[in-house]
Amino acid sequence: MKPAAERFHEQADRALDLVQLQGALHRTTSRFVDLRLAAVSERPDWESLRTRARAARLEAIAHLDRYLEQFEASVQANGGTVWWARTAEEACQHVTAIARRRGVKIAVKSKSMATEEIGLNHALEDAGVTPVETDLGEYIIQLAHDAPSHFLAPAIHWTKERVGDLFARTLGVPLTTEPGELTAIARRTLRERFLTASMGITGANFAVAETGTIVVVENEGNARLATSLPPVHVAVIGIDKIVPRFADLDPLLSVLPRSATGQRLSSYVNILNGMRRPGETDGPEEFHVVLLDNGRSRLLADPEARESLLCIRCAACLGVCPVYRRAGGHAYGWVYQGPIGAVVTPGLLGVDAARELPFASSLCGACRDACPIKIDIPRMLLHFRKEAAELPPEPGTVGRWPLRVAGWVMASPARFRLAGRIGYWLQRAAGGGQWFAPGPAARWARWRSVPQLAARPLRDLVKDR
Amino acid sequence: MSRDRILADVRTALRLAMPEPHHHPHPDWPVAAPHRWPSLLAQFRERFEGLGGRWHDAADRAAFDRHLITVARQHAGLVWVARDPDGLLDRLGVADTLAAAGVDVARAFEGPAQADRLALSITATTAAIAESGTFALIPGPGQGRLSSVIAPAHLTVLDPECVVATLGDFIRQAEGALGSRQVSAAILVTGPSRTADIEGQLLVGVHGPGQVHCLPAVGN
Amino acid sequence: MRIALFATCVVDQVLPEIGLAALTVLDRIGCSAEFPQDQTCCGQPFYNAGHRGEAARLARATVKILDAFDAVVVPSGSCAAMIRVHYADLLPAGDPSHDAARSVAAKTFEFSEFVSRQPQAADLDAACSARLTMHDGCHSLRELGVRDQPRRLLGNVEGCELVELDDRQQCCGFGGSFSVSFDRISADMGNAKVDAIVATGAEALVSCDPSCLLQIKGILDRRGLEIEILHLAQVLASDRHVS
Repeated sequence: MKPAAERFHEQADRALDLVQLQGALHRTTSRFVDLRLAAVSERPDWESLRTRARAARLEAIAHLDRYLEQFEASVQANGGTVWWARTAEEACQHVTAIARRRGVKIAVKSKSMATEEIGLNHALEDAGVTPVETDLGEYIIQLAHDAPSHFLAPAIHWTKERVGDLFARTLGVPLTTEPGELTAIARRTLRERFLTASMGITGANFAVAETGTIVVVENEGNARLATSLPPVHVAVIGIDKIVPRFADLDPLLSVLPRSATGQRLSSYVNILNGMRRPGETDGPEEFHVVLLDNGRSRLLADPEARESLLCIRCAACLGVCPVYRRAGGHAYGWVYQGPIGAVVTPGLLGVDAARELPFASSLCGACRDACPIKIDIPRMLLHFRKEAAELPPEPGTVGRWPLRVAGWVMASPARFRLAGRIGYWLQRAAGGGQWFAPGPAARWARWRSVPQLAARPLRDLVKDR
Repeated sequence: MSRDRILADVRTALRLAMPEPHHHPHPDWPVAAPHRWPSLLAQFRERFEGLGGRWHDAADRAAFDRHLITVARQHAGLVWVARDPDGLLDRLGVADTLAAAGVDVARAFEGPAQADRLALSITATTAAIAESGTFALIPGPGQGRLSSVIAPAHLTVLDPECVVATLGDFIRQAEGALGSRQVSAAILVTGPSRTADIEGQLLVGVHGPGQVHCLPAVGN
Repeated sequence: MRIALFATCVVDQVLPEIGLAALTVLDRIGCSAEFPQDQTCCGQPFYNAGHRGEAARLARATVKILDAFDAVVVPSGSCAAMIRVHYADLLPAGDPSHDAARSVAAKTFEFSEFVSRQPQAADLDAACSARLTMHDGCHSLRELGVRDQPRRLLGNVEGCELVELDDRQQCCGFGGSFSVSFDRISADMGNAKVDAIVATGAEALVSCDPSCLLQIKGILDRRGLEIEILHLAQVLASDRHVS
């Protein structure tokens, strides 16, 4: 997926204009929030679970080099093969090379942000392989050549009427808008794909260094089918997905589904040790792991933003974010949406590719509270704001000078007082500034009355006490 | 080589330490009134049924067999009685009971041609997690991963002794099996296959079974 | 004990009545505070805009002024959090003002936090016969843990009835420069907050964050709604009835 994170406003405005979309976003995110809190309420030890989950992630990231090597050795001991990819292109090459060697025509995929990030579907098509997204939401997105707008519920912005139209148009089925029938159509169509595909492609929620185990969490059963039926399983995994020990799965799998969908556990948790063992009746004959860097080591090298690599992609921060809930996922312009996306995107692509994103937040901190790993997202947004402010100003913008002047004014109590007095008289002369508000004030005044500067500031009033 | 380059980049990156975290007060997490169950099995059952699972209680072997036949007939079609590491289903004579009742029984998955005819799969649970109503299958020789998702309905036979309290208990138990590298997977099932991808409406049976049944073993 | 009122730039220039009310309340509980004339701004607007140079300059000046006091009271949760939480990042080890910043951070309190810690707080004979609702500023709530303190203090006010907002931890949408650079989203958030305020039937909205009050007041006015906005200090300082 090509990044387009520089168009936040345009996309957000479009989302705000779509009444239907606003309704869908609010309904779905509100439901996610309520379900999450209900699930949390059943664990009186929630805060200590968060602490344990965070500790496991921190340990992995703090010694990532060691755990990556250990993970590689463990996968190999399980009979699997590990490929390393510094870039998206390299990762795609590894996957297409495996496909070519095995003569793969159809590859079934379960939802994976890493493969979305590297644009694997395009690479597979170019290599003559038909990639089939099998998660219902991703399937809709693929059929429509659309982009996901929520990394958990990719088609959150689709209504059933549009899905009905899409299925009728692309699959040649009779028109229906009934979600149950639409789901049954997808099941029938995709089942045939599962049975004929010769490669299954997944991501992973966790990759255990100690045992070489990968964990794929899902609700539909498509990831399980994709890792059971085809003779080849390829898992594309960001190097940040490592966890040190098998025992770490306890706190991590305890917080992930509760935070994501409010489930005590997702319908299907696939704890996979690679290819089938002698005597086992299904499962892949070959197991490959593609370990993907693609900007992660660069993010790791930024100590102020490193914490974002602890993310387990539960999307709890999306559900609680008042900005995401209004702007929708497409405004974030890339694979990772919401508050964590506003950090991960500039982190992976460089802040110049997403300079608006760190500012798309009121810094309310609801994301940090919701995060099961206690990731301090607002602090990293502030970090990337600093990085963005240090870039050369965009052409056509005023750049840094207004804030420089304001800083100069504020640096002196006398100047500050004087500026306040001048402002007061100007505002009076302009009739309170309600009908004439220059510059940024106009954008305030579009929706709100303009505050009036006081006739006498506090610093003068206190002298009369 | 990319491997060495990535590892070198990671090592270089880690030379700088992360800043100390800020300490923020955590929210007042909501706490539900605690609930006690008479047994782990009772908790498992409540949670399993809460997910839409169908529970079948059998007082004796005759009742067990009756339930088995009823469920199989309810999902008219081919029934795949999977093999399990402990041979529980064989000890209980599940395949024979069904065959004797005229049910079409398979003992292995034989590929695409058979897939369309499958109406029900029957497995034996390796472990069950009470807090989430989850059952787990750890495949061994003669078994696989598919039996939990390939058919439109799934019945698992549960040894009441195998219920553990929490996910943590299960992870500790599975660590031995997966750590030994002798098995390829541990497969967890929590309720039916579900999706909420169209307008957030919860629907079951999207790729995996829309119905899951649990039948506790009797007289094994 | 010398106590400073760090009033914040918004209170100084736009809502000075909040500063006066805070000083009155502090007098009444035997904790009279001074208003250091050298104060301007904590630097938060610059910090949040990514302009750390300007922010650091203001932060250094601020800690220099405030370190001479034994305690600092701030009638704004957001600015108190800036000093207490973010100065550590803005003036890190190695900065000449780092030690002063740490020292000031340790003695800086949001207004309701400070007042509720004083034994005399229970004896404040404030009266305000009105139906009130309360908005928690996000930084008060999530960075300082100020949740119960203002409510306890309101509980001592004679005649006042507190009706909580639906979904009360939702942000009002102000967010500093966010309110103009993402004005449409900010205003939509503000409107949702105002809807919740209207639904309580309250005559006045109370908060410990002047900037949230500006956002909410701006929308109330634009919508022609006659609901008063009050800082907690104004309620505690009142012995009158809200008109």
